[in-house]
Amino acid sequence: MSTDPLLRCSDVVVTFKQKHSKEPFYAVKNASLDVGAGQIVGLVGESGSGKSTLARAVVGLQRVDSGVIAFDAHQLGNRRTREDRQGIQMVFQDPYGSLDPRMSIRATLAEVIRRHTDLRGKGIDKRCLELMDMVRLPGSLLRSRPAGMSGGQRQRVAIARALSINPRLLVADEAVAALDVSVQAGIVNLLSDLRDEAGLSILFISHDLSIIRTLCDRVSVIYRGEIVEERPCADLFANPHSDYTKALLSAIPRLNGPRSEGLGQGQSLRM
Amino acid sequence: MTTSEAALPSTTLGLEPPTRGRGWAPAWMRRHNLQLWIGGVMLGLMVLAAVAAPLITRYNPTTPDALHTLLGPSGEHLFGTDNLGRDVFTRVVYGTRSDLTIAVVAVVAPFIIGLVFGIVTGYFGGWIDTIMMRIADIVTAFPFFILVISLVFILGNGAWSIFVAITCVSWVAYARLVRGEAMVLRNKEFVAACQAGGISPVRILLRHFAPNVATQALVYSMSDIVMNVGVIVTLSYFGLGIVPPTPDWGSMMADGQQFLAGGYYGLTLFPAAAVIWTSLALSFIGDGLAHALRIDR
Amino acid sequence: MTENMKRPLLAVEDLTLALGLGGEEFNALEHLSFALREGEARGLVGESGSGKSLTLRAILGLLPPNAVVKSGTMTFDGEEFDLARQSNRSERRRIERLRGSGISMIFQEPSVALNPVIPVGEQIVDAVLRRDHMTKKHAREYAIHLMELVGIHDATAKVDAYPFELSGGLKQRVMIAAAVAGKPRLILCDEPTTALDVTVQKQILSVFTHLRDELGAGLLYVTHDLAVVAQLCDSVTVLYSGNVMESSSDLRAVFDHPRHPYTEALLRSTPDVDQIGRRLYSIPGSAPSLDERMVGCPFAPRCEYRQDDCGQQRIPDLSKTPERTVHCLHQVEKRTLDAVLEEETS
Repeated sequence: MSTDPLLRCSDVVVTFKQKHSKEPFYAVKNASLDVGAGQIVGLVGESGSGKSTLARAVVGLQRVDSGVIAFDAHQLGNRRTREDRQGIQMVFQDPYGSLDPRMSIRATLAEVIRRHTDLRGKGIDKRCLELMDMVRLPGSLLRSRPAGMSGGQRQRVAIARALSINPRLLVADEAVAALDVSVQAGIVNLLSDLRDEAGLSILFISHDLSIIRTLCDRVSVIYRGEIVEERPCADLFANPHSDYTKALLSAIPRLNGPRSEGLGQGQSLRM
Repeated sequence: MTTSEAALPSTTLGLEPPTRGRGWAPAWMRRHNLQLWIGGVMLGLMVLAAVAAPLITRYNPTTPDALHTLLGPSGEHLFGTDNLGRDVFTRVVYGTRSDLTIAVVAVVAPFIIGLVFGIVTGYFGGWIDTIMMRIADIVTAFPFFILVISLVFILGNGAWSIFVAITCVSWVAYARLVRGEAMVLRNKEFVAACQAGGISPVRILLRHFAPNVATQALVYSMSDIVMNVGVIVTLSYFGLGIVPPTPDWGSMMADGQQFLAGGYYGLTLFPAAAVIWTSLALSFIGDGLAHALRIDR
Repeated sequence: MTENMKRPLLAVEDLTLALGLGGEEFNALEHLSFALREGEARGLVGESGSGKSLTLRAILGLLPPNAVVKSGTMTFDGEEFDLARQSNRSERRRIERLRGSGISMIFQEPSVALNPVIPVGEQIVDAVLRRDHMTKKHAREYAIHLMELVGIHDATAKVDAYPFELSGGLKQRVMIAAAVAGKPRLILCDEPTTALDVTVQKQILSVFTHLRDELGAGLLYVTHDLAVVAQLCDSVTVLYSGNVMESSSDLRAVFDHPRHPYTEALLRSTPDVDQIGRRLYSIPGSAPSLDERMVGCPFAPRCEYRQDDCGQQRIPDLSKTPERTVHCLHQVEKRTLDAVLEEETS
């Protein structure tokens, strides 16, 4: 089955119980999404669109009500085995919350390595140094704790942790949203390099269309739990089909775009 | 319903007051963590005196001496003697043994029970949380002292029943404290990262939750020891605590009270000073610990 | 931009502010000056730790307790205030009095500005009535109108809601509605749209544009988002580590021909939908924390154009033009940013 993409989500449905209603809330509705080997696929949507829920479902942090999530032509259930987990890893948004403040960087990395590989002692040390190199951090940081580190460094550590067990797919959920522009660029470049050098596939979840445009090969637009458009990146930006995508694209602030217009006719602060 | 997807940048530098450490100590003290040192030395002196009691005093704490009753402080009797002629200094020192031992021991069990209870309820939430916190509510519904006194009354006097009574009541405070911390922790992304990494829930609870939530509980336990000293002393004062003639600050104060009018202040004052000394030492340590164990997240 | 000849609505001169950390004081802002005319929107751009939020707070006297203003004056509408004398009660009162009348502030975090026990509509109505005389019923209708303007679709249903019943995004919009309700002369915005979706952001930017163009309000807009500044603002001040790097009354001049290496680096590291296939420039290292700051240009350790003299003294303004400020000894040569980017793409 060589034609199968690395990750295939078809008709994925995720619901949540609602407090004041018997009807469940559909966070993700029949979403289908593919990520090919070595591809970076963007999943873009606004807050509450269900993009993070879908991402968590792919990683196995969120129960799926129906639909299929297949990885490497092998269907994944709601309970994941160790092998299932090894293939897909995740990087989160908050660089300040995604590392245990009481663990050194080495301990953070070693914990996952020990769980998934036979490496012990010196082998782990060597692997840790390799990983730090991959994310362009000095190996001397291994002994420090997250407290003294900058947001960008923490996010690199989080990426290193995700890479520590050689996943084939990395799910990055708003992984650069909390970072400063200058630092953000470094992480975006790192992800791009990891794809080019290590053949890593990435599902890149973001609300920021400019970054999606810079980084991704394909892009899926999600709106109220439904994927409204799924196309190659350049195509989608040049020629959006759905009304929602059009509205979204026209709202992106641009460095060289037209200046913001005032309120439309008939709208005024005067009454 | 979903997690917040809003892109909030991290906290702006400098807008938070930098010295978030709770506590009352002035800045110069906090900077070198002097509280921890002062408290440690104060407590260390007490523990040393208690352990080496037979070496630093030649009197027996329980043997009466009818010839030397109600003496004032002197070279011979540092704190004077009581109405039965027992050396007050010796009794205060030996009182440390009973009071402090029970106070410290009576913190361990509630600490452990509360920690486990709080982590489990906080991490799993849902119905486990509801049921377990109701149990905690029932305990809290009774005033602390009334519950402890009733329990001691039922169980009878003595160190063992004080220990059981305190454990039954004070674990709730730990459980609530730890539960709150665990609930905050549960939503941290590193927990999700561990889950995604295939780390087992047991390991997550032991390796990630326990050390992170134990700090607060540990700091609290220092003030809890102070509280326990207060409880033991109070119980003994009412004649419900440590059985005489075993020396104890509470019963000493109660006994000494009747001689206050006669001007024999030392009988009450010196055990009271010991209580204050202990409380101060532990408060210093608690504050110092809070500062030392704080980790900027 | 409409009436260039007008006197400044707001001018801040030589603002230096220190933060106390663990018993020591560190300068978080150094010699900051800028001015703003009526109907002008100035972007105050910087990354976290640049001091941009502190600047806004200093203007309104809302500084954290560990902040000390060392020097600095402010002129608002012809009236002068000594920011360094905020420990003086009467001076502080004068500054505080500005808050309700004439200057309003929009925070990044809405929960600080909304009273949790009063329905949101009423909070907007209060703001309206503080400025305009009208009946309560009329004010309520106006409040609903304002809520619709900032993109709250079912405003009639939401007007009686309490803040906790609304999502973060909605609260943010309510706060913006309340801030503009009194038709302030100057609006201080602290990353007001950072947490909002782009479609809502667009609408909010339109409201700001309207306030500026139609009502002549001045805007001081703090953000890290260069693209938003490009869309909204007329002038720009770029901050780094508490120091002005580059500043100009003409925003396009800075964005098209950045002369400070930091501005250039920032622009090169910003992803833009209109530039495809470009590898983003990643500024090496990270911004210094307060206690790591040194003499000279704060950006020097990360700067491509750095030379030995950068770290020796405070860098003066070397722009040689009155409408522009550039604090750099080795300014970027006069080539357009587009040319730089094109080079990088190929």
